[in-house]
Amino acid sequence: MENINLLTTYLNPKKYDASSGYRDIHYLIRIDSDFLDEEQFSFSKNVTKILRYGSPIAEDLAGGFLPVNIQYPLVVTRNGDEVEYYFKRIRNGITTYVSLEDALLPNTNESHFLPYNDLTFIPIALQHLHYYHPEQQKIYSVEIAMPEIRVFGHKAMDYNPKDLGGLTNGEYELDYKNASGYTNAVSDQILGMLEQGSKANLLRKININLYEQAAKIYWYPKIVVEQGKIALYYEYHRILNDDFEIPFTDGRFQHAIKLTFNHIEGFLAFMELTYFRNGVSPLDLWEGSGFRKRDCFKKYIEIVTKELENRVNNFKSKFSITGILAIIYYIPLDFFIKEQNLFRQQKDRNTILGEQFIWFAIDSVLKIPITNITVNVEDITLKLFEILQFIQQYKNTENKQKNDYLLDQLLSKTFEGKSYLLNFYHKMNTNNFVRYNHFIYKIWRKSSYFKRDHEVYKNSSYFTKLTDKDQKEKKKPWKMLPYTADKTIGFYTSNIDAEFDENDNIVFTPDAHWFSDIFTLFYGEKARGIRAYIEGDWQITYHPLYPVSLPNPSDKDAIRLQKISPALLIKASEDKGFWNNVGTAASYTFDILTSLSGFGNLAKFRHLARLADAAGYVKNGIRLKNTFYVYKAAKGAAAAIEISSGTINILLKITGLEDTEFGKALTNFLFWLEMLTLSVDLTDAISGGLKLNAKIISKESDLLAKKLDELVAAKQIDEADRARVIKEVEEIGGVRYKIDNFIARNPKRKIGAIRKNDILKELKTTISGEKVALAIQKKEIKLIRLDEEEFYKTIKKPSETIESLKKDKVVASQIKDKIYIRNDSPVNKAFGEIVHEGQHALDELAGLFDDSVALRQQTSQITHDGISMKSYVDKMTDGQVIELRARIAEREFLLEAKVALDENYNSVAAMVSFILKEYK
Amino acid sequence: MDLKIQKLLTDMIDNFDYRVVAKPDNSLIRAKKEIEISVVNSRVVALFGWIDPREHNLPDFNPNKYVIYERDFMSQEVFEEVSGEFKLVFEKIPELNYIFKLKEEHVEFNSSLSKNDIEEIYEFVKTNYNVPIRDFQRRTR
Repeated sequence: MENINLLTTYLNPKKYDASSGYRDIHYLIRIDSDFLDEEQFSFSKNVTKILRYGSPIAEDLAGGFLPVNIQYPLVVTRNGDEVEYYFKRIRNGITTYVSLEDALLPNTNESHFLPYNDLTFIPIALQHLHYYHPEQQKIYSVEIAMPEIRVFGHKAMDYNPKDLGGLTNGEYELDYKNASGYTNAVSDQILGMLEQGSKANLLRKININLYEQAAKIYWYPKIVVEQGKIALYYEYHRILNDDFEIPFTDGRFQHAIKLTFNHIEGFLAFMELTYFRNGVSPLDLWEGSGFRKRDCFKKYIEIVTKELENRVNNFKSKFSITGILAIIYYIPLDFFIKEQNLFRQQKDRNTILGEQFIWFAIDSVLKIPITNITVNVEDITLKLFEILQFIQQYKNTENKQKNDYLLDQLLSKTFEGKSYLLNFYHKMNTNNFVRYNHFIYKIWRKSSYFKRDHEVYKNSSYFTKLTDKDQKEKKKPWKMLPYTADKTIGFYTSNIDAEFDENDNIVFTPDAHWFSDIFTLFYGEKARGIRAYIEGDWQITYHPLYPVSLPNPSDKDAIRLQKISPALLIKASEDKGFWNNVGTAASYTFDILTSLSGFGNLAKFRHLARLADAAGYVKNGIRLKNTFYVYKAAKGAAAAIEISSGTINILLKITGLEDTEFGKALTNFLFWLEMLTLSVDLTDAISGGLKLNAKIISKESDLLAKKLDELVAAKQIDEADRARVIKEVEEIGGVRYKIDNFIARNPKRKIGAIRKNDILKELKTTISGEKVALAIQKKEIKLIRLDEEEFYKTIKKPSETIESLKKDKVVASQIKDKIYIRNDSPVNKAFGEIVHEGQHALDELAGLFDDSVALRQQTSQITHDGISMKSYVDKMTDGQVIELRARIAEREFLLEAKVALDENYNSVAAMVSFILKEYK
Repeated sequence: MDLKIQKLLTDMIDNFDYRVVAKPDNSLIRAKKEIEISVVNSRVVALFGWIDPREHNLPDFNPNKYVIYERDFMSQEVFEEVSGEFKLVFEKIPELNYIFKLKEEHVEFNSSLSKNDIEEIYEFVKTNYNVPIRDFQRRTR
């Protein structure tokens, strides 16, 4: 897949701005027949090239191009439009050539250098750097452009489809994952995979249509909604193209570029990538005439407003909020101060985009687990706060008032007994946790909460003696907290402990960090020097916003603290430091974790508890249906680990085990899962740790099974949960899991008790079952499971009785697109029968029941179990051939699933003679 | 019954009855010359099943609509593909619109049909579509 972000860079109207920093221009010139025809003049309009701004050139070429690191000069051969690449070597007076193909081999050797006497080579002038584009099978060479070569106008954009690096008409995916600020951190890889694996791909689809004529075009497109899809037309400039007549077809001027978006999200992302991210504001509508900017953004605002209106009006459940947030995510902040009237008390608009709406969105956000999984709820939540700040800015000129308003609201609004301020504190993760705390700091710094005599601190901030357990004697709190933090060998330490109390104030006590124990373990006696104690018996309780002076905030704090910081920020730094330490420890050695898990019940951890919460939501089917995906970022293959919420909950239930290898492995396993969601950047360690521990757990599967049995007995989980936990842990452990395990483990289980999704999943683990599973998933065919009576009623002929069918032991049937099967069929039979009837249904839909010639021809070509079916087909009636096809599919499945074969399936011969005997 | 509707129903019935050689002007046969046979068959047979009273007691039958997007087991990606097939089939067999209306995620009855019309359609299918099941369509154990 081409990276079409090339296009967004190309269309960026600010690309030539002095301020944009795009000073160095490089071209990647395609070495092809056009290039040769133009006598190797790189800047000819007919030469295909990619523009690159800034250096080093190679930085953003990863993916689409391979660097060609060969010291010999590039030469080509030409045959019509075909150009082949070689590299020329002169050694000891002998000239030989190596073809590009051979040169790209990992083990190019002397035998690849040949004289190629029969070929004519053309030397290539460009010899600076070469890149190979595997999809196009073309080499691009780098040309560095001098500033005077800039050929770009200002009033219009110089369009040339050749400048788009071989981009052709067709459907593409817009890559805005990286553009959303994701890095290579584990969390982002996880997110990336999640997005790629989900419907996000469809949202990204963009159809590109380029007209061949190079000419001047308008900087901004016409936005048109056509048949429910948004289309952008970049049109040729009507005035500035003297040398060419713009064709007029189908009632409109021919466009130069037409982009059609599958979904509004793709459109919004495109606008963000091409315009807003590059500093173009939808508010600058007055930037001269002839740019078409005003119309473009007017339409943009109209589309966005309408979409938001729609989504608000269809706001049925609290989870529709993600749909609204998804839109907000892509809109530039400026949008919200657009024409200010959005916040005026106008009937139609105010409710949608005004302050009330934003608060409503924030309220709704609290009710769902805030994670960046699926929709970037965390990011968007922060954006909501920023929007609120914007709105206040518009409403009030006084800084303090506007900031007070936000903080007042965050303190007074509550959810589940906690202020919004702390709710979001607890819900934000990773870098957004830091961003949130800095955001609070920023508004706090210029608010009246910055003053110690604020009313709210009166009873919430005080000094007590540690010995005074009932806190009878409350004194004025210290203004200065003797807090010092340090970072040594990657570990954060501090001399003070900070915890929330039941009133959500923060209690600071002098303490050596618990983590010093780890130091002792790791560094033995040396750890003493790192420990920092303060003797003392004091305790200070601060309101989260109380301004605390710090003696020497430093860059060694986990979150940058200021001379005067709100108490919450110190707490945040402590929390962040804690998790960083865990991560650091983990990256040092895996063994240390075993000792970490010594403090046992990980479920007590704040973050892990949160994971369980999230899982709980999922369990209730509110979010993401029944599955909570945790994706592993493994090197190379991007295999996904799927852990359902139920499994997490159940595993949590059996933590706190006695000190067995299994117990340790289980706590470690959960710990690594937790790490994954926290995204400490430990890619290898995490995937390794998860796997290793899952392996140990599944090795000890008797113990796991026993524990699960106890839970089943205590009615805490059911049989299905039990099976799932075992299966999922095995999957992560890389224990080769196939349908044979599934069937062997539950041979007598009834097919009716298995979720359709699971049936499809199991079928898909085999080659023979996959076809049927996919067809069911596509609703080409349907799987219908019925109770016995209903089953017979449905498939019986008018002349038959249910009793006769029972007597004949009819267990499955196919009618048109439907597979009928009895609910009480055991899985060791049922799966095969589904494959059998599924094959019938597919054959009927493909017309094979009516087309004897095709039926026989196709079946004759089958080789099953090493035997050609041709000679059998010749002996059979059409009906028998149809049955043969289904039996082959079933038998292949049974072999793959390692199910014991009965006498009619023992061998191909037995199967065939059974068909010949039983069917007409 | 509207003759156009009757013709469409007859086309379907002939197409799904193995004993009948469909007439040259059968709209399904016409479409099968242009697009994949299995696409026409699978999508039309689903709609045919929806108006066949014999299938009305199946577990997930919904008298108001034939659901295309089964969120339980269909990913968005698969849905788009399936939805594309339905659009294609409706495009190639515009006669389907006499009875059905293709919506984004489901198919419903053409709104011009009265309750009575729909009952007539059910009755017509029930009376005229009676294809005996064949041996190989059953699996015994």
